[in-house]
Amino acid sequence: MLSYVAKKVARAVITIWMAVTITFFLLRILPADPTLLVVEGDMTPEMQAALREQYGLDKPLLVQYGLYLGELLRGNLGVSFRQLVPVLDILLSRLPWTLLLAGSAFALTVLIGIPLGVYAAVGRGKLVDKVVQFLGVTSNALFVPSVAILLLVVFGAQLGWFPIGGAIDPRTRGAEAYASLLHHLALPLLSLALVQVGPYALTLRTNMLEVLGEDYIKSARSRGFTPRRTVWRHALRNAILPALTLMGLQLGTLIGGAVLTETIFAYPGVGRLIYEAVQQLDYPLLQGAFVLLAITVVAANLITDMVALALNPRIRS
Amino acid sequence: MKFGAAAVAAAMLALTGCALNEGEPSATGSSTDSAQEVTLRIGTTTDVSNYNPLQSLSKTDNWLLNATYPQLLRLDENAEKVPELASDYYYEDEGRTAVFELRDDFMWSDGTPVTAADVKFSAEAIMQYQLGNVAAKLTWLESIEAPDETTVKFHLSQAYAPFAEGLGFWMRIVPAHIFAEAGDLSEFANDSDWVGSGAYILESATPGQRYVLRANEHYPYAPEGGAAVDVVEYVVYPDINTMILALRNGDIDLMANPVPASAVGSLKSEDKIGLEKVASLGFAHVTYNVTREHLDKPEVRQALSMVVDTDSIITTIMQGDAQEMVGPISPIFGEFDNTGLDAYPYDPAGARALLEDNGYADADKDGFLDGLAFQMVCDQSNANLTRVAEVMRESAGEAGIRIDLACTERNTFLAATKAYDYDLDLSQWGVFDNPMDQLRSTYLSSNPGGINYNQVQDPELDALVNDAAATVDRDAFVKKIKAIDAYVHEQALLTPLYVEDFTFAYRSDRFTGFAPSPSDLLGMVTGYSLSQVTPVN
Amino acid sequence: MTAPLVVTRARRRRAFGSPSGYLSVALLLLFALTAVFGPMLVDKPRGLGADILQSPSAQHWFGTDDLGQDVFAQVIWGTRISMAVGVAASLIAIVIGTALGLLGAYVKRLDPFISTLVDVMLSLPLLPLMILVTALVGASATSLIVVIGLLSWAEVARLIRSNGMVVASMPYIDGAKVLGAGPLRIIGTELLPAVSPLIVVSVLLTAARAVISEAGLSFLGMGDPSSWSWGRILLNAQRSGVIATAWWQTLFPSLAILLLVLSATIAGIRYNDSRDPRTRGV
Repeated sequence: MLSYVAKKVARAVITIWMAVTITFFLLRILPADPTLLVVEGDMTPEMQAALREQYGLDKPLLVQYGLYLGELLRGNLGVSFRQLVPVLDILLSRLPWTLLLAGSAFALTVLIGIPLGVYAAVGRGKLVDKVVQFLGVTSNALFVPSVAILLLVVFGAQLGWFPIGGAIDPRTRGAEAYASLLHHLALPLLSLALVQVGPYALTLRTNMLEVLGEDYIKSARSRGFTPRRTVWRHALRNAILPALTLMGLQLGTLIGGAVLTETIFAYPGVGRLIYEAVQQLDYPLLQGAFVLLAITVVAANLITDMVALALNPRIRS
Repeated sequence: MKFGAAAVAAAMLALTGCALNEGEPSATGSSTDSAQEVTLRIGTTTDVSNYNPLQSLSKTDNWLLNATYPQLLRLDENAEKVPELASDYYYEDEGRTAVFELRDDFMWSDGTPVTAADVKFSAEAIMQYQLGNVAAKLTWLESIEAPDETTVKFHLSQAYAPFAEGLGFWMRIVPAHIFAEAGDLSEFANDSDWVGSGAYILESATPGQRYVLRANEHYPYAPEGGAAVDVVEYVVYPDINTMILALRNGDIDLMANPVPASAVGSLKSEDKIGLEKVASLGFAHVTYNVTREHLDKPEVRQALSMVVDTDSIITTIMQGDAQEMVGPISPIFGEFDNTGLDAYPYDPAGARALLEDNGYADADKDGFLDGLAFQMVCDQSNANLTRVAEVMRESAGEAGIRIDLACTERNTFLAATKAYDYDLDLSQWGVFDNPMDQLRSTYLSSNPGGINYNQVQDPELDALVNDAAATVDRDAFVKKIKAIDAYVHEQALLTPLYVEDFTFAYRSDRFTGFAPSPSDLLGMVTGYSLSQVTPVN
Repeated sequence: MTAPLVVTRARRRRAFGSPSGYLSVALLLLFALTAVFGPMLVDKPRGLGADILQSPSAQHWFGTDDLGQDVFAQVIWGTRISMAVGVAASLIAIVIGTALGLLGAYVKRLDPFISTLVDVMLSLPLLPLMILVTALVGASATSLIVVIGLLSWAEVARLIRSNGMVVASMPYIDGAKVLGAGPLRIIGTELLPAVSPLIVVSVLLTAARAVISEAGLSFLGMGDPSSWSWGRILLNAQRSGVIATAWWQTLFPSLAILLLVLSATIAGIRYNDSRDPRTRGV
């Protein structure tokens, strides 16, 4: 069990290290002059000199890389070109919104995806299976901005049921504030979940089909458990674990979708920040946002693995 | 498992709730009766980039700063300068002394009265640090005198007719007792604890989200009993389209940005939305950086002027809500506009021929004349201009000129123009209140206003401008302005695109009584205008 | 997915014999023909037209945008770039993914590194990474192809590796080894042909994802500014402030994306199912 956890943690650390390394070398190698990226025209010469020294831009690449890793470990992601404040401060002020959006999309996907996948597997070949598969493949083919714009136009602009943008009405307090939060969350959340739930349900279905064919399910039935109970208690429990891990793998695309959704709904998360950073040519912020999102995804994956472990200690073997 | 997911979601909510409260330090403040407060919500595309009212050149910054810091004179709905902080102004000493009499009832939000000393301090700070575009208007200033609490005298080395109105309208008055403590004012960020005396005073800022201003109970131009709108909240929608939807949906009550011409039609049919059309005091243009290779040649600039189809731009992109202009002087300046100038014809083939006559050729057969590749910057938040940019890029291609577009977020665009980091600058002037100040600011080699975006250093043009500025006789003056208009047009330093009629949209089912002024710098959102607004029922 | 890789002709026939099978292949063909020949038949949308924001009509099948350009022409021209980027990027991804997958499957010493690399690439948020890279190299069709291609191979590698392992453990591979074939030769002559049906599936699925990626990047303003793509049509609609009224400007490019991705996915699934009847469907 411990070695399982250690392996997962090690993999998470390696993934984050790779993400960091990729961005470091991308930023240093792609443009001709790295100083152009860190030092901006309208900074004073003193600020430029201070920044150059801080990043050790005169030193060899590998030394710079070491310095960069050191700064990262201390939580220094650099300074934003445009806002001249630490990138980390900007990111952390936006991160909770993305966590809320992506986290609830994750939860909703699981909550809708499980029954869909199970019913399709149980009724294999029947109408319900065909419908779920059709919806699943269609959902998988949806383009997030198309869905988001459709929801926005229909439920936001035409019917007026939901707000168009933002994350909360700042005038609200207490319970009202939470209601406002959910009200603003609904459409961005739905546009993400609609795209995520299809592939998720399909994978769950596949896993269920495999599990349903396994021997111990047959033996559970032979011991007199009802089919319904067999499916829900025994088969699902074993099918969920890989599906949970797969949901972890889907987190990357979930976050990618969040960039698009947040852009359309003016949702003040990290995804929206990425869009703004692109338009502002704010490379340090862009780099920091990617690193932070990578860490978030990896951490969420790790948590998912740990939850899976807690649910079923069998997997450690 | 379901429980687990729900728990995760609940934890997320709680987490966000915490962040939420941290992010809104002042919103929970002392206002216990927030339910009865009237809040007007305004959409803006851009975060505030500079809170220093003496320094900021950004239109979007000025929307908030103009409400917080008063001017001596404001511009009314007819573009006339009328008193704000000043109660009166006149010249003495044959035009070489400008005198402003101040009202005695303006008060800073910390309780200190606004006095002549504040006005003197503001002007002197601008001179000392050469701040903003106001510095250009103070060229002939010799000294400032504040004989009493409500009188300020500006002594000039020579008479300059537009001085009082230009300064009175453009200079923001800042509290001397705060700004004097701030050290180097060219470095002063002024990004918290604002002390103002305008109609609405900045109270809190959450970049990326919102800026909150609160009504100043001492603002003397508010209606009897104080302004009906207690709180003005600017909400950031970087995307103009989302902002329009938010207005339709009632998430905001007013758009500070003008409605893109393409969207005006669809808003006209909405009965809850009111539209106000105001005139422009500026114009849209392409300005050429003459320090760049090839752009230093008038023929290249003329050829570029020939790839711009202003007629079609006005009919299609602007939907007819704009008028054509030729030369740098806009038709809104009436008699000063040289109507004898002929626009460069839209003729990409002719442009190509002109360039080939001047030695340009496509030796590498890539379809573009060798060497003619330019970067054009533009402001992404101006939907009309980003469309112009695309169209111009296409037709320039036909003439063998390659244009690479760099349409970025507004503040990034402003940073690029401030650093003169562009070949072609596609943008829109906000307000020119008189032709002389415009020509001095935009064409003098000494660049006193910091807005000589051509970076032109032309002794002949300098001489023409300086000669006109010193001309007192009205008819001669008009003639000289027209001559400069013609000179700049022939040199093709810029390609004027159009003078836009701005349309502003608001929720007429909720608020009424705006006092709009011309231009998109002022529009519906001047402090004065907002203080006149009343909620519907 | 780890089914034996025996594809009989009968199964292949079954794959595309069902309505969803041949419909999806027909649609793919239609898109391909449009991409190749469409731009020859329809003028490139450009300049300023007189009729702006017209709803669909006989004259403008998909309506016009705020510049008076024909949306149908934009979608046709967009088909070419969207498909070109999708196919080219997926080919890059397939080459890298197949090479790494087979190396991992056969060369045991390399496998830990490769499988870790694959896991890492699978768990990174790719769209933000693509945005970062495209912002740095500058937007053009070529950079989109390279960026998407270089970042989309992980799924392919995972699939090829797990199937390659099954093949690698088969006795005839050992036989080849005994006969003196080197690892590269075995990978090239034995493993590659064995997994080739899977490569066909991967091309379809990866191209579908690549089309979505391209549309996403273009929608964020990182597409090639001088060519039309479906994402750019959506971006224009969003920017001009008319998405609430000019539904045709967003609906048609959205449908094009949906149909192309859907048909590529279904074709891929049908083809795959013909090898593994257990998970058959759709």
